[in-house]
Amino acid sequence: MSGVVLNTGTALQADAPAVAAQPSRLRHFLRALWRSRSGRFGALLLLLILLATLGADLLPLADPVKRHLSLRYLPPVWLDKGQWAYPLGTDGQGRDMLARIIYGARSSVMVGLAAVALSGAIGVAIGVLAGLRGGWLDQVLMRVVDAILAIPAMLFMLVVALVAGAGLAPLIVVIALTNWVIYTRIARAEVLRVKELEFVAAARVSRVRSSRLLLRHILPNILPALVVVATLNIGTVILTESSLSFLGFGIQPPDISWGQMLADGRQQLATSWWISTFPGVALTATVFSIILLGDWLRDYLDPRLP
Amino acid sequence: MIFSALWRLLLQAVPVLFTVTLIVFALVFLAGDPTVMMIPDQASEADRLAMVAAWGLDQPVHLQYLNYMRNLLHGDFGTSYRYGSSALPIVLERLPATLLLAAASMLVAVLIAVPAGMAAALRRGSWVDHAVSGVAVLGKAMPNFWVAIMLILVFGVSLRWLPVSGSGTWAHLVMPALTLGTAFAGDLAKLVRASMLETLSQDYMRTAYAKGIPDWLVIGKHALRNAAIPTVTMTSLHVVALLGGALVTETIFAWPGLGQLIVQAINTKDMAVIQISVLVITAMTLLVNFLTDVVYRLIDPRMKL
Amino acid sequence: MTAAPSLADAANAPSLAVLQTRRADTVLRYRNAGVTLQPLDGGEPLRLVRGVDLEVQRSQVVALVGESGSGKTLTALSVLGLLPGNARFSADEALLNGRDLRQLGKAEWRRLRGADVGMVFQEPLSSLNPVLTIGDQIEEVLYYKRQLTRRQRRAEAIDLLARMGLPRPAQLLQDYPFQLSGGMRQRVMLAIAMAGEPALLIADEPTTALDNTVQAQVLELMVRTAEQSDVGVLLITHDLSVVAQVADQVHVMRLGEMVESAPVQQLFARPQAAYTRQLLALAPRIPAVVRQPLAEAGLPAPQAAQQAPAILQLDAVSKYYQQPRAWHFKAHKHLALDQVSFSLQRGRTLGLVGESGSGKSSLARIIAGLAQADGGQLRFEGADLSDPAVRAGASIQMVFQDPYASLNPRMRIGQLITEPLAEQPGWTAAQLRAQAARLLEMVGLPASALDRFAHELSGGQRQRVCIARALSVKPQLLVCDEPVSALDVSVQAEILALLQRLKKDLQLSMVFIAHGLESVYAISDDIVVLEKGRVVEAGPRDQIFGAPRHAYTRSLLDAMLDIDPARSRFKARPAAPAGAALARVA
Repeated sequence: MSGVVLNTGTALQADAPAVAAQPSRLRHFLRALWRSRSGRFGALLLLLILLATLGADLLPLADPVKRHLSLRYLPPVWLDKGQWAYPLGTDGQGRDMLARIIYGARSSVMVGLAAVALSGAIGVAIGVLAGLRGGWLDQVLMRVVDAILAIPAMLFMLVVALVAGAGLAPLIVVIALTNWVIYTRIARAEVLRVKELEFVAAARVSRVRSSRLLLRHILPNILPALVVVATLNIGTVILTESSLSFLGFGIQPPDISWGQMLADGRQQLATSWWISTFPGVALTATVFSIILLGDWLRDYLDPRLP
Repeated sequence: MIFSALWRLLLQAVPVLFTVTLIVFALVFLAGDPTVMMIPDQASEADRLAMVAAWGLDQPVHLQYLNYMRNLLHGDFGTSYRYGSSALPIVLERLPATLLLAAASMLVAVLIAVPAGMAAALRRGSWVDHAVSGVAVLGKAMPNFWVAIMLILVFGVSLRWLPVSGSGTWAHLVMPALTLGTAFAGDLAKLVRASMLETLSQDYMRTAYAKGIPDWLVIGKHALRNAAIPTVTMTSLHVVALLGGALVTETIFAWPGLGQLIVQAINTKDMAVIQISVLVITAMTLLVNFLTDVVYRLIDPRMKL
Repeated sequence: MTAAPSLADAANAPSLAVLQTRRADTVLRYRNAGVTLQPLDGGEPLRLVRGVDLEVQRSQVVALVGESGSGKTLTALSVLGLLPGNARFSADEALLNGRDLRQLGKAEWRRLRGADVGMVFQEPLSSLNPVLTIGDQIEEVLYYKRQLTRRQRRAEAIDLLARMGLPRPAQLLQDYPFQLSGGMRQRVMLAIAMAGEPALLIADEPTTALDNTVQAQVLELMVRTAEQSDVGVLLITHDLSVVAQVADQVHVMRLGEMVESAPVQQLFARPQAAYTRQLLALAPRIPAVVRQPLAEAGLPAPQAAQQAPAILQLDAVSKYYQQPRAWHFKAHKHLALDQVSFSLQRGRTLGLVGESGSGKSSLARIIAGLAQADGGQLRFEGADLSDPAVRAGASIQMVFQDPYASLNPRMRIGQLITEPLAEQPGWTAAQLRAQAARLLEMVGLPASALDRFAHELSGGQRQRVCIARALSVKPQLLVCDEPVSALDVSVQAEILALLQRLKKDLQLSMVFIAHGLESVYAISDDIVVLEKGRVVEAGPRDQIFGAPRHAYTRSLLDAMLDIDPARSRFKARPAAPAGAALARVA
């Protein structure tokens, strides 16, 4: 009838005398994930990608680094001159595209997880500190965060890359140095919010120790927001890594990265379009599934109130 | 009202810019000796040392920093190693092209995202909603350099409708603007949808419907003004990302803007240009924040304190 | 009396039949109305409301009474066609001002809203659009419903606001909702609802969110408006004293069904249904005898001061609050508590009464140690509480207002209850668990609750958990900050009864904070009245109720609505028939 959404939910819970039981949290989580169409799709796709990444060695793939100068620029199998041995074609050095894509996933996943873990740890620690302490420490830290946020991330990372050089480890450090501010912002905001909640006040009246207050009351309640941010952040980091590798600053050969592959294929766009196209599809699919999962997670964790 | 916003800007700008110069200087210093790249191969070590002395690179770091800051405040923004002339004019010359690209991208994004997000919110749960959400996520998942390359492939190479690089005509602007715009549009559409949904569930919307005023008024006036508030905030945050995303896009399309200049400068370790570019972009970001602040105050009367 | 047909009516060009019914006295008639909800994720349709028979006449106030989940709000929304998208309305008969509500299309609903029926909602702040001016929000209705010109709209808006008792109406047109107080906002809501000259006014808990003193004013305004403008009023409420004061006809609803319908005096004097009787018994009331002045009733003079030492004593306690501002702007200091002094004897309960802005929450936090006073002194058994050693030794616990927010959603009940205890040395996990079980029993909860999470419990059960938690360390002083305000009426009574029992069994000293005098009557021995941070009156309970000295206390007492319909101050009612007393209180 109208676009109005009324929450009749809470109003309908009459004061029940009995206390009902609930299924285990893990089972509840999995069931909710399965029930959501987008969550299910995202989770399954991601699972597929992860399995391919981890189990790449077990699959009957061609060698991703072996060059076959006679087989350069082979088109995908469904086109003229394509071969079944190389289903997605070969690149400018005769290397199998399919194998390179599957092995390339490893770089992305590794960088994604490592950079998020590192920047998350740093960022959350600083954010919680700022939120709890307040005062001048908070102000100073927030100015630093503002400064870093004022510089476009890509720019900042390129400049840092100048210093750090190219390669996998420097890449993770470079990304982490820009990325931690996101976690600081949200960790601090969450701490400030949770600090004012009534159950924290209740714990303080009960004379609960500060360490216990932090561990039992504050941290568990800022965790949901952080988990959501971290999940979506992995997607962002993967895109960032591919951008840096595309520009030549990230993963160096012979290590394989999707961004790198995209850069390789740029010159042959007119003749061998598949070299740039398929890595992009892989990137898109991976990040797509991560975002779906992250969005579902946000919806799942957010209206957690009865 | 304007004065308080200006005052706030100043208070924010000064420490931020200061911190940025510190960060940039530190990075540049750590990046090492640029003279190695600049001198011709046959020059002797003595020549190189002479060059080091001339650029003042042999002094201790805190003195270098003080020199740097002193120069900055005197308006001397350093000399480009590569171009051999003052860095600031070089940077400023490239700025308009990037601003044009940024504006065009924002336009593209807003024209796509706002109607899509609103339609999704008003028809929540319908196929429109799912389609918009799905496409929005897709837009966010696609790396912008890949979008650029695919656009070039389709419109430049196969169909030959648009030029693939350079600038000069409106046609040159289309693909770069689409590339940057679609990346932003995904996020914007999701935000517009979310903030519309949030607004629609508010009590005052129920009052508005209960009054019996036309639907278009309820949505267009009562809902939109409230939903716009978080949208404006996030848009300003994205401008920062836009300026950064321009780096890769301009490089691919050879768009003669600040982004392309920066990438070149990084490749040649042209420190002065890098430093000034960072400062200029940061200043732009702060300016955008200021404008957002003002717009915010115009929309939301509760902020007029 | 009603004005000539407005332009809106002419534009709608109704048929003669409809015109005739429009002039008729019956504004709303429902026969066997029901609302069915189709859950979004599939599954059985839920019949949320069924079998509702309802009739509202012009100038009549009909009340729908029930607790949460009774379906009263859904019934009200069905009259406006504002049910959620997946809800279906059905009825044998559903007429509003002559129109059949079952057949209306979207455009017809839109025409009907505002012009035939207006609605006032519960929360005046969130029900008004925060970014639009008051004038804008009123004039919208005047334009679309009555097609007035700009000048006419402005004049009419000013007139409406003045009729609603608002001062400086011309100025008010340019103000925004956040600049007004709660009572003023509700008057504005009423003005907006009446702007379209409807035949029916629906008010959904219009005074629940307001202070008692303001409540009386708004109710009076509603009754007067109904009489002067000849509109029918459908009042949704859970508060029986409001019903007694203003309603003519009462319908009691429970879990979607109409349990009893009767004229107001008959309902209160001879309730038929068991549920009605239960509601009447549980409604907080002050025995009539106390409302008479002390001397008249022949009660003895106030008792001499107790010999027992004071367990809590406040001397000139003050607290400032600063508006949070960026450091470069001058901070606005605001006095939340101004030289507050009182004392509490051991074993007694102090009722602290104050409306919003009185500083009672700040006081609670200061006593409990969550905040520091800026001036004055607090003493616990004679020792200064600002001394950390004394504070650590003082056993003061607190029960908060919102049972939903005061329990950590991630901890189990068993852990929550014994958390204060766990801070003390020498408790093993097994001992804690055993103690938790004992505490649960003390507050009347089953032992199975130990392993549950807070969100699995109802509001009343959660508050019991909070009480158990506070009592786990055997406190000497218990501070209760509006512990029952957020609960349903029947649950309120249970929790209050629990507190009274515990108070007696454990010899507790208590500070009980509430915003209305009637809430503290049952439980307090002494009373302190706070107005804007200052103590205006203090004394034993019966003295405060029987012989109040300060004007503010008197106004609080006056604001208490009598639950006896014969004593309505808003409506002239025939005296109760001889011999028929108010239904006996249990």
